[in-house]
Amino acid sequence: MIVLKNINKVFETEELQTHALRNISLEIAKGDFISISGPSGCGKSTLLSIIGLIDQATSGSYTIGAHDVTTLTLDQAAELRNEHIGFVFQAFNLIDEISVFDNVALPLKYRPEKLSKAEVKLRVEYCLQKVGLSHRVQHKPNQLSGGQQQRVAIARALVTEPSILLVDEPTGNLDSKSGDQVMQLIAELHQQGTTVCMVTHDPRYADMAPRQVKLFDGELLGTVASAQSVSQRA
Amino acid sequence: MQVFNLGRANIYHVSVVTTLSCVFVVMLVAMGMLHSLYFSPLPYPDSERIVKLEYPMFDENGNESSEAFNYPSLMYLYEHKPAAMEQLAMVHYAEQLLTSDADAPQVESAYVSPEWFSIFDMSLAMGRVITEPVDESSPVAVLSYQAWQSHFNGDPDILNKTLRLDEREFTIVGVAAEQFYEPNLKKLTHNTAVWLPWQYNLTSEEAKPYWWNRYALNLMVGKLATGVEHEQVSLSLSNEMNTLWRSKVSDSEYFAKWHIGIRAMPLKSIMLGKSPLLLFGMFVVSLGLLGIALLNISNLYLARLSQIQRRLAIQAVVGAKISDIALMQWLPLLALCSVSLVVAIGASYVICLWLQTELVGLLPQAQLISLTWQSVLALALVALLTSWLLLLAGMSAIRFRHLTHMLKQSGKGTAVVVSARVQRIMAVSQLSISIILTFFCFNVGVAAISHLNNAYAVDLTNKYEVTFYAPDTMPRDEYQEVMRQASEALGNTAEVIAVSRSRSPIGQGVGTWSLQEVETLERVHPVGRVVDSGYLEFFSLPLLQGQFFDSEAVRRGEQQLIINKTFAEQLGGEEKALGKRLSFNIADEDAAFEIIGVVADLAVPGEPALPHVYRAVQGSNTALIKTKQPVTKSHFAALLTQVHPALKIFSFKSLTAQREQYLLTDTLVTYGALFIFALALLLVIIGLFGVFRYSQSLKASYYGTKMVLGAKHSDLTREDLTTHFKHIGIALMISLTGGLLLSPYFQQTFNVAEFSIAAVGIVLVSSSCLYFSLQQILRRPLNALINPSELVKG
Repeated sequence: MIVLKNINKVFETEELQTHALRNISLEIAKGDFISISGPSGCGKSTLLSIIGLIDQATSGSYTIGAHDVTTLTLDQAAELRNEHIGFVFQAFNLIDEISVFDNVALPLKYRPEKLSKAEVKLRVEYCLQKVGLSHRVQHKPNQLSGGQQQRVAIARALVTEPSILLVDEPTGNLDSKSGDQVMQLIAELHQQGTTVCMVTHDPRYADMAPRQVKLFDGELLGTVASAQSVSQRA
Repeated sequence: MQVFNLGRANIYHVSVVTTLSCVFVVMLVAMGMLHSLYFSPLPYPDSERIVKLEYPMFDENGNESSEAFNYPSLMYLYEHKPAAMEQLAMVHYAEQLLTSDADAPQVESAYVSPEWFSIFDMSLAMGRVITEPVDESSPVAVLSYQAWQSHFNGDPDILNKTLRLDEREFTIVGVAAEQFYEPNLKKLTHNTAVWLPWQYNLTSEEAKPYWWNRYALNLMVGKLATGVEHEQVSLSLSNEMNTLWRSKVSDSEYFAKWHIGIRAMPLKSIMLGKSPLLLFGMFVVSLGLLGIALLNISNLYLARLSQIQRRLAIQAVVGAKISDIALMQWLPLLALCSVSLVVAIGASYVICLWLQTELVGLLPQAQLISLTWQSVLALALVALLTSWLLLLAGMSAIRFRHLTHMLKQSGKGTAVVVSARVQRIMAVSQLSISIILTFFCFNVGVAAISHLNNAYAVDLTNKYEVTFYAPDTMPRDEYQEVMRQASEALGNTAEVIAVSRSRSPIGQGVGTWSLQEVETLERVHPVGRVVDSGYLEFFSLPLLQGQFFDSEAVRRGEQQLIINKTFAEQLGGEEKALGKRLSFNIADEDAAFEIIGVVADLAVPGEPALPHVYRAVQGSNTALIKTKQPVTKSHFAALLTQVHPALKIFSFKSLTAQREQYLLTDTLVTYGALFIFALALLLVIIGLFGVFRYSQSLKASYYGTKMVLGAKHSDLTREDLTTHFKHIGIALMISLTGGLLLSPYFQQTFNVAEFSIAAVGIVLVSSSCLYFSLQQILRRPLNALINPSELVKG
C-alpha cells in the first residue's frame, strides 16, 4: 500500500549539507503496525514527515496505493493527507480555543465532500467513544490532562477513517502511566485493523509493534519482527 | 534559517525605528517650535512689557468695523503719553521706489518716531539711529543690513551718502546689524529696507485732520510702565480716547452710535498671531501620533516576543528572574528608542534650519525657530518613557509560569500570550481608528483642497496688476489725466487684450460700507469695492440678474451699484434686489445708488461668503491688464515714459502669483495637515500589520496542525478573512458612531460617500495586510509551523 524506494533527504545550508536520510526503502501494508526507532538525530521524524507528506524527499520515489506522491503541490498533499493519513503528535497540537468536539471534527471541515452536521456528530462521537472521552465533548483541551489530550488527538486522527495513522513520539510529553494508556489504545486500534506507523525512541514501546524499523545516522539498519506480542505486554 | 530570522528581526527593528523616528521628528519639531517661538522671550529688552496699541471702531450694532488709527487720535495719544506707558512710538509703513538706484526697485520703508529704536533695541552694524524728536528731525535714513548689501553692495563708506525714495532725498546715518530681527507688526512678509523719521511719513496733509479716517499703515507700539497690566491700559485709554473721539465726530449722524476703543495687545500675541493655535495643535497631533505609534509598536513587540519566546524560556530555565528578563528586554527597547532619538534629533535639526527660511512669510518670527536643548531633553524623557511603556506591555503578556514548561512541550509556544479577547479588541480598535482617521483625513483633505481650488476661482491666466507712479508734486488734474493715458496706452499695445482701471481683488483688506435702504431705512453692511466699469467683465464674473456697468453712465457719474449673490439674498433675492436703492446719506435724495445688477460670489479663502457691493468710478493709478501671453514689467516701461517722462511702473504683479502668495499659508497648512494625516495613516497600517502578524505568529502552530489535517492555504485564508470581516463589521459600527460624533468638532458635515470610501479603503488595505502577512507565515516549511522551535529534528 505505502511504498518508499531509495528515499534520500538532504538538508542544505550555505555552509554544509546534512544527509538526514540515505536510500531508505520501506513498504507498509494495510493493517501493519510499524515502529521506527533509533537514537536522537537519526532521521526518525524526518522519515515520518516524508511519509506524512509534510516534507518532501530530495530523491527517491514514494507511492500511496496507486498515487505517486513523490512530488505534489501543497494543496494536493493537503488533500491526500486529509483522505489517507491520520497524525498524532508528541505535543498533541490541539487548538486551545475550540472544544474537544470541534478539535476532533476539524479534519472533516477540510474534506472536499462536506458531511452533514448529523454525520459529523455521529463520527466525532464514535471516535471519542473509541478513545474513552465521550464525557469530555464540550471541554477545552487545556481543561484535560496530557493523556486525555493525546487521546483527543488520536480521535481527531481517526475521524477521517485514514489509511494509516502516523504517530510521532506519542508518549514524549506524558508520564509513564498516561503513556502506557495511550500505547494500549494505539495497540487496540491496530488490533481493530488500523494501520499504524509510529516513531519512538523508547525501546519498550517500539517493541510493541510487530515490525520494527531501526534507523541510524539516516540509514535503515534493518526491519525486525517483535518477539513480544502487544497483547502479552498489555 | 538564521538568515530567515535575521530578516524578520530586521523588519522588526526597521519598523520600530522608522515609526518612532517619524513620530519623534514631528514631536521634536513641534516642541522646538513651541519652545523657541512661544515659551522663549522675544529678542527685545523687557519684551513682555512691549504692546501694540490698536484702535478698533465699533458700529451701532457693537460690531468691530475696522482696526486702524485715524491720524489725529494717533498724534494725540503720542503727544499725551499716559503715565501707564513708559514709552510710545509711532510707525508708518510704506512701499516706495528707490529712485536713486538706476533700476528704481520697490522697497519697503518705515517712518518711525525715535522711541521705536530704543523699544526694539536695534543693534547697528555702523552709524547711529534716528534720535531727533518727531518734529525736529532732518531727512536721515537707517538702512537694514539686507538693503545695505543688496542695493548698496555693502559699501563700507555708505554713511552720509544720499538715497532718494520717490522724490525725496535722505542722508544715510546708520545701518542695522545683520542679526536684528524686525518685529512683524504689519504683515509677515514686510521687510523694512529703510527706517526714516516720522515727520516725513506719507499720510497726505489733506487727510491728517479727519477723526473718522482709518489708516491701516499708521501703527503705535509702546512699553508698559513697570507693574502695569495691558488690560488696565486698554480699559483706561479706551474711555479717555473714546470720549475724545466722540467729541470730535459729534456733528456726524453717521457715527452717532459708534464708539472706539484702545487695545493694548502684548507684542508676542501680535507677532505670533494665530500661530500658537497651530503650534499647540501640532504638539497635540504629535502626542496623538505617539499614542498610535505606541499601540503599533506594542503589537510589533508582542509579535517579536512570541517569536523569541523559546529564548526567553531558556533564560528562565537557566535561572533568570523576572527582573533579569525584564532588564534583558528593556535594554534592546532602550537601544531602539535611543537610535530613533538620535535619528530624530538629526532630522529635526535639518528641518528646523529649513523651516527658518521656508516659513518666513508664513509663520511669524520663523527665523527664530530652533532645536532648543529643552525640547531635546523633553524628547529624551519621552523616549525613555516609551521604552518603559513598551516593556510594560511586553512583560504583561509574558506568562512567566509557562516559560519553564514551554521547553518540555517541544516549544509549542504559549508562554507569550495576549488573550484572544484582547487580540480581538486590538484588531477591532486598530480597524476603527484606521477608518475614523482615514475618513477625517479624506474629509478634511477634500474640504481643504476644494477650499483652495475655489478661492478666487476666476481665470487669472495672463492677468497682471500694474501700479503706476508719478511724482506727488504733479497737479491733481494732470496726475489723473496721466493715469488715464497710461491705462489707455497699455490697452493700445498688441500684447494687451483688456484693461480695467481697478485694483486686484486678491489680498485686499475687507472694508465694510454702512449703507441704508432708501425704502425701508434698514441698515446693511456689505463689503464695498470701488472698481471701474469693466472690472466685473474683466474677471468674467457671471451676471445673474440685470446688467453690467456702462462706461458712459459711469463717466456721467450715474449712481449705480452691482451686488453679489450673497448680498442679493440678504436683500430678499436676486430679482427683488434689482432696482433697490441704497445710500450712505439718507437725508440727501441725490446720494442714493441704484442696484443695476447681481453677479456671482468671488470666493475668498478662510472667509464665509460675504455680501459684496461694487461701485464703479473712472479709475485710479492701478490697472489690471489681460495679455495674450505672459509678459514682464520691462515690456511696458519704455511705453509709459512716452506718455510722461516722470511716469514709472511702481509695481507689476501677476494675479496668479498674487493668488499663490495669498494662499501660501492655507496651502502650507493644508498640505502640512495632510502630511500629518498621511503619517498617521502609515502608522496605522504598520499597526494593522503588527496586529495581524502578532495574532498569526501565535497561531502558527495551529496553521501547521490544520494543514497537516488537510487544510489548504485557501481554507486558512478564508477562515482568517471571515474572522477579519466580523471584526470589520464591529469596527464599522464603532467608526460610524465616532465619525458622526466627531464631525462637528472638525466643522464638517458627516459625508456618507466619503465615509464609505474611507471604509472600503481600510477594508481593502487591512485585508491585504492580513493576506500578505498570512501568506508569509504559510510559506514557512510545514514542519516549522507545527513546531516552530524544531525545524530540523532527528
